[in-house]
Amino acid sequence: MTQDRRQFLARAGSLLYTVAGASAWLTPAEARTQGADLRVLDPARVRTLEAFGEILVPGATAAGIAHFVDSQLAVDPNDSLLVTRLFNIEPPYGRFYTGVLDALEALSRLGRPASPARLPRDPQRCRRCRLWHGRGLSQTRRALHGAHRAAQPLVMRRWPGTTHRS
Amino acid sequence: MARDHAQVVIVGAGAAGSVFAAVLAEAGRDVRVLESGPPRRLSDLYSSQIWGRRLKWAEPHVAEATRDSVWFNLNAGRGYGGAATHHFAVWPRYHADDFKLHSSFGKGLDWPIEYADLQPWYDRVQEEVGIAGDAEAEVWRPPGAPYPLPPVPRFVQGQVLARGFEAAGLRVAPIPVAVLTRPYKGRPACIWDGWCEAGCPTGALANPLATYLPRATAAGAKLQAGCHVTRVLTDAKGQRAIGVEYVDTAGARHELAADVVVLAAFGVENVRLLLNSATTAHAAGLANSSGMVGRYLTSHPSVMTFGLFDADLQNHMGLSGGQIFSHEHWTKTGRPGAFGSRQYEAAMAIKPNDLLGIAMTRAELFHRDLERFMQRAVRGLGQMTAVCEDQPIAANRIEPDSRRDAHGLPLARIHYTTSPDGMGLWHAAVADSERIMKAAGAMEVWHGPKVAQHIMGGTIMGSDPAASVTDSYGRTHDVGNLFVAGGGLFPTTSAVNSTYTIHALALRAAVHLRDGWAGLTR
Repeated sequence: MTQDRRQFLARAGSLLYTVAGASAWLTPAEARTQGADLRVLDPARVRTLEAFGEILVPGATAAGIAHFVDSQLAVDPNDSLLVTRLFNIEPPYGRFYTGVLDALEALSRLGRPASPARLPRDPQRCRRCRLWHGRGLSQTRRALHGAHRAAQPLVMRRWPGTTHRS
Repeated sequence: MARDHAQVVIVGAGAAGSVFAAVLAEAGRDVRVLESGPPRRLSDLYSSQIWGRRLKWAEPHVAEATRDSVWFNLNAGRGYGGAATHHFAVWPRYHADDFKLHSSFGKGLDWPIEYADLQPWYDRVQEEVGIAGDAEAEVWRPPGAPYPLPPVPRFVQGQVLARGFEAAGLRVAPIPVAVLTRPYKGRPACIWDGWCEAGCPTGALANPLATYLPRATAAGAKLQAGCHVTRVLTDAKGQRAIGVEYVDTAGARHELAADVVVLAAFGVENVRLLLNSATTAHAAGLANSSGMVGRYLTSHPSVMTFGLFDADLQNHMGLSGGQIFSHEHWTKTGRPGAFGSRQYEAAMAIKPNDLLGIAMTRAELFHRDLERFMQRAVRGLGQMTAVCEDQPIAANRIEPDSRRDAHGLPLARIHYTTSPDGMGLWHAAVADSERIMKAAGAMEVWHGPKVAQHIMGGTIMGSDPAASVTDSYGRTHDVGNLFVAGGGLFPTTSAVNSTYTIHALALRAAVHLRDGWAGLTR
């Protein structure tokens, strides 16, 4: 059987998941569609992460953002492929991710009209998304920075050993 | 507690440590290299920025005390090859005026050596490793042997941005890189697919896995991965280093006795080790009678500038470090109120994702706007980077934090604020870079945030033992058989990438130790 380069690369991105009690090498997208076990993130945080990912990049949910992040939170930090490694964020990274997801959820309820987990599929057509993000779609950077800053005290309170920089 | 012996123990298997290991092992010395990270071969590297994240530290290491940052995690590396495994291999030389800032300009510090002292070692390293460039085109280049390899090819992005420099009245030259433009000493030529920052798996880029580590192991040096050194051990009087203490991956503590100890564990970790090796005789930390251990931490304030062109720039091709560069803004006093030099690198290979990828260049975009931008930028995005000189400030320092890592070492608490001169140069570089991009024909131009490239200082060399940590060979003033290697030795930053100078200094010091062994190990 021959493969083209893109097919090879797609398989090269496979990670080890557990489906119905059996281990399998799957892409994050396959892991999602096959209902692979999640090891760190609970369903509420998965919904928040998928909604947030979908706002950033259409198709993030179907690509398996939650299963990718979850799988990398579950491994030894030295083997992790998360972008947190590029910053001065102290492992275990689950502290950071769950803290920020909780902060995003909390932030969305503080004077904002919608939870990120309940946002519609096309956020650019949605006024609520604009409000949730801050003062407009073009200022997402500021909104994300604000969310990150808002997350810090929550993360610190919840996980006192955590250090990170904005 | 197990204890064994080597003539030389080297802490860290990166750029500097690998040079020491090769030179001393080839001289017949019994060399042991202790590396905190994992063992790694070229075949373990993947052309993927996501996989390349594994080359970074994951363990808690640094606590930052200031708003400015030296971006430790981005700059450092772990495992065989160290930070040089993910470096871009841009290898210009320091200029002569970088070595005498204080005596020539009344700014910063002086090195205990001049360019002429280092020139033969630059020449020797470039012959051993293979550097590609065009010495004649570099009209600013200090004296030195011509490059052994022809320059990197200029793809469309390089041609377009070169026209921008030309229109702005600035000359450019092919960027000097430690990347092979043709096969050299058994290593293959580069295929220009632009994955340097993820770790070059072919061996065309001069990371230690392809250059000095194979030489070291072939000569009998023993590399031990997963060995986290926690202290340098000294004799009762504190006059000699007698070895190191380390913890293995199982948590077992060991002592390795040695005649000579070389700390080559990256600038931040070297400081942490010296401070953690305090004894009654060295209450403020080992080799710290001057109080200078940890001081004069510096970095290069840098900025990436982007331009969107209505053309296919072939921007996926080439090298992470670029295709052309310029030292036309080198004159230290060329800009009132902002002393120092600037270097421009341009036409970097850019990939779609990750921190240095296309998507992150416009962090404010998301959803369909991001998708539309990506569709244009994946062919039309051009990039250049300005590297600015920073001035050494004693208050920029590393000190022990109150928290400790899993091995009991205090984290490195970093105080760093870019010098006023460095900030002035950075602002000037932003304006000039955008001017160059516009002159090249970009339809839209923007720049990224201030980033810190390369970490230097902390164990500076100098002539005065009261004002520096080591002599020009990295031999500590206080402990004669203890050497420090790497960028931590640099008293000043210049405006060029540091890895070439790290190699030249390490080769000079290793040969000095090899040839003066009897006297230096007493």
